[in-house]
This record gives sequence, structure tokens and C-alpha cells, in this order.
Amino acid sequence: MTLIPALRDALSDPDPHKSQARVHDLVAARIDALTPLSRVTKTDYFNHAWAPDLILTRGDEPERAVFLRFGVKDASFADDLDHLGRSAPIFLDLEAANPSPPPEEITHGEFDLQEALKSVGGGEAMVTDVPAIDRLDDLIRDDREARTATQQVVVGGRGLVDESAAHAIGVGWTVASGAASDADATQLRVALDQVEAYLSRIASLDLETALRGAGSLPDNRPRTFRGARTGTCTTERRGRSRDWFWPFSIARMLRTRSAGAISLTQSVQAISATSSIASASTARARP
Amino acid sequence: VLPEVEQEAGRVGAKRVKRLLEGTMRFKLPYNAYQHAERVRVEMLTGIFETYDLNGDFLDEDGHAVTRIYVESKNVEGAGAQAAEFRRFLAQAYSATRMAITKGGADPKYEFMWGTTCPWKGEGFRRVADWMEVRNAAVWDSERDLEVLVAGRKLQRAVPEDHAVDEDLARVVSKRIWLWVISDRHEGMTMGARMRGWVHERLATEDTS
Repeated sequence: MTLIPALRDALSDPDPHKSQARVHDLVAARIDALTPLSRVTKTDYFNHAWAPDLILTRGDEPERAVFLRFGVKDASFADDLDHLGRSAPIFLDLEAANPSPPPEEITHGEFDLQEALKSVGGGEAMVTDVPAIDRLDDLIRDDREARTATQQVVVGGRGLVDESAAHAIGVGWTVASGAASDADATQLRVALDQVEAYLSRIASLDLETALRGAGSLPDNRPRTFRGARTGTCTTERRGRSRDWFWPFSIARMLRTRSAGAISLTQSVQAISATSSIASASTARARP
Repeated sequence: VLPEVEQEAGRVGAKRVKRLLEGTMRFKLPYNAYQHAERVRVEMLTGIFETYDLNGDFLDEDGHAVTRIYVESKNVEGAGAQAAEFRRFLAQAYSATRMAITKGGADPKYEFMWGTTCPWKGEGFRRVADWMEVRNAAVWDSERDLEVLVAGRKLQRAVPEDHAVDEDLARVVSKRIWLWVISDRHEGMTMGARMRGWVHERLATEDTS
């Protein structure tokens, strides 16, 4: 069942408190499915001006706040961005499931959501909607490994991640999976860039770190410590190597895996390790 | 349909009212007239439904919901026709409470708030919402000429023509009227991002599921 009819039914509950609890349950369950590494906590606040509806936590640390909203395309949403945007939250627009949406003649004025998002909090806030969550849910139903990407989209996504963006993320991930299986490093880089266009720098790096197997293989590229974001300590590379390539050593590494099928993570570990070795070699070769 | 500028001013004003009120932790106002028409309306004694800009819970000191509150937000540059609109607002407060008692048997204890960015001249602003004003407003609405516009609009009655106004109820309702003149300085009375962060942390550890 897609989320829209379930949410619409919950939003139609005549008892507002029951309605709110049902909506929280539905949304929390979907976000939980997308974030295997995080815990989703429901608060007792619904569509509140500053208290989030849901809070993502990892360990004991809050990771990201989720604010449910109805309509984000008019100037009144600028108030939310002004007052909450700096903490880089998620605004999840429920308008697509609203049983009593505004009439057609209600106008949106000249408010530009994309521009408004860029102007607050370093552009790290994310606005998404129910169709986008449905798209991401479709993605992980087809490919459980895609949760590696959806985890980062939820925890570190930025900008407008609507249905078309969620579709692009899904396509990017699928192409990345294929490229890794085919050992096509160039295609893999392009596909990951497609996903990472919607991620913060830190989430992009976390995605690649996750793909690299959480440090099970060495990464010798230069690093610089950038600090923590809401308790999650992350190292960030100074500049990202774009020259992923396909040396013979990776072919050897893949051939040695007798199982035949190789996961995306394993492939990226292999490609990444070789890329690191190559970078280190290049660095040593410099005068 | 309201002109675009007026629509936008109304939405922006209601959003600010919501944020300032919710910042006190004594209100939860998740519904508004633009996106939840079904949630923000309340039935009058005459059977018509009147809508408000915001609707939600009025909370006690411990954050528990006490009753529903209906909020009318006026994001205006001048006083305009607020004197007449406010009189109608009082009549509606009386009528909605009476109707809920009639239908449900118990007093719903609804609260009604008028938040405006510009006060209007009246016969003593401090008395503008006392019990006699509630009574007078109910009587006025039940007797007025329906062809005469109220704040530029033709309105149906909220109080029936033959209704005998209950003065005791008018006294009760008058204690549930909020009249708030909103100033930009109210922004300085709200918690900043750091304080909110602390509360977020606490909320994260209080799973209500």
C-alpha cells in the first residue's frame, strides 16, 4: 500500500488526536524502514512551529529532526525556513495526502522554494513529500541494499527531494549497482554523483564510507577533520578524487571471489581501495 | 476569492501567530483555514459553520490538552472594520458554545482568541470583551438586518432571531475570550535556536509510542 491513501485515511480521522497519532505511526514506520542505522522517535507534537514530529537518533545522539508540514509552496513556509532551517531539519510535506487540500483558487504568490532553501542554513535543510517517500520505499523493496543510500538521504539529504528527485536517486543507485557489478568505475562515479547531488558533503562521504565497508579496506587519500554534525563524528576528505579507474588489480580481486555474485558494497570496496592505492602512488611520484 | 496579496498576508500572519503561540508551550495549533478547512470550523446555533484561521489544543501548565481553541488572526496595517468583526466574533463564541452544550450536553469549554497586529478604537479597549459585550454581541447578531453588510460582507446569523441570550453563559464565555495585540517585539520573547536544541534533545528521549 502506498503511503498516500493510508495517510489520507489517518488524516480524515474525526478525532484530531487519534489522527495525529496515526499519521506519526505511518510516517515513522516508513522513515524507519529507510534508515537501518537510525532510530525514529515520535514526539507528542504534530505540525508544531518548532517542536519536531519525529527525531532520528543514532546511539544516544539526536541526528535529525523531522517536521511534518502541509504545503511548502507559499511564502508562509519561509517562516519555517527562517526559524528552523539552520538546524538542517527535514520538512515532510503531507499535502499530497491532505483530505481537504486548499481550493484551486488559493494562490502561491511568487515564493520560490528552491531559492529559499538555498538561502538558509547553508542549504542543508531538506524538503521532501509523501510521493518521494513512496518512491524511496519502492527502491528499498526492490533492492534491500539501497537502504545504504536511503539512510544517507534521510539523515543527510538536502534541498528539494520531491518525487522526481527520489526517482533520480533510485536510478542513480541502480546504475551504481550495475556499474559496480560490471566493474565500471567511471559509470559508478557518475551514478554516485547523481545520488550525491541531493546529499550534504558529510552524507556523501558517509555514503562512500559505508560503501567502502566502514574502513575494512584502507583509504590512503588525504583527509582533514571537519568536526561533528549533531553528534555524528565524521571525517571529510579535502576534495574528492574524480579519477576513479579500473586497474587490473581489481579484476583480479573480483575474480578471486568464487561466489560469482558480488555485492555493490564489495565492488566499491575493491574499486575504492585500488583508487586509494593509485592516489597514494601518484602522491609519492610527485617531487 | 481574496486578492493574492491579502491571501498571502493572511497566511503569513497566521503562521506567525501559530509560531508565537506555540513558542509558549501552552498551545498546539496544527490546523489552519488554508489547509484544513474541515478542522477549523465549528457549528453555530443556527446550523451554519464558521471557520477560524487556526485551531488546536489549549494546554495546561503540564502540557496536557485542556480544550480546543479557535484563533482568528488579523495581519492588518490599520484597524479596518475590526470593531464590527470582533462583535461578530463574540457572538460566534457564544453561539458555538451554546450549540455544543445543546448537542453534547456538556460544556466544551472552547477558547476563542483574536490576535491582531492593529487594535481598534472602542469604548474602552479593556472592556471590549467583557461579559456585557458578549451578551450585547449575541443580541445584536440575533436582531440585525441581514441586508446590512458586516465588515463589507453579507453574513448569516450565528445566533437565531428568536434566541433568548443566556447571560450566565455570556459571563462564562467572556472568560474564554483572548484579545491579543501582536507586536513585532514578541519575536524577542521566544526561545532561540540553542534553547530549542535542548528541548529537542529532551523530546528525543521521551518516546511517546
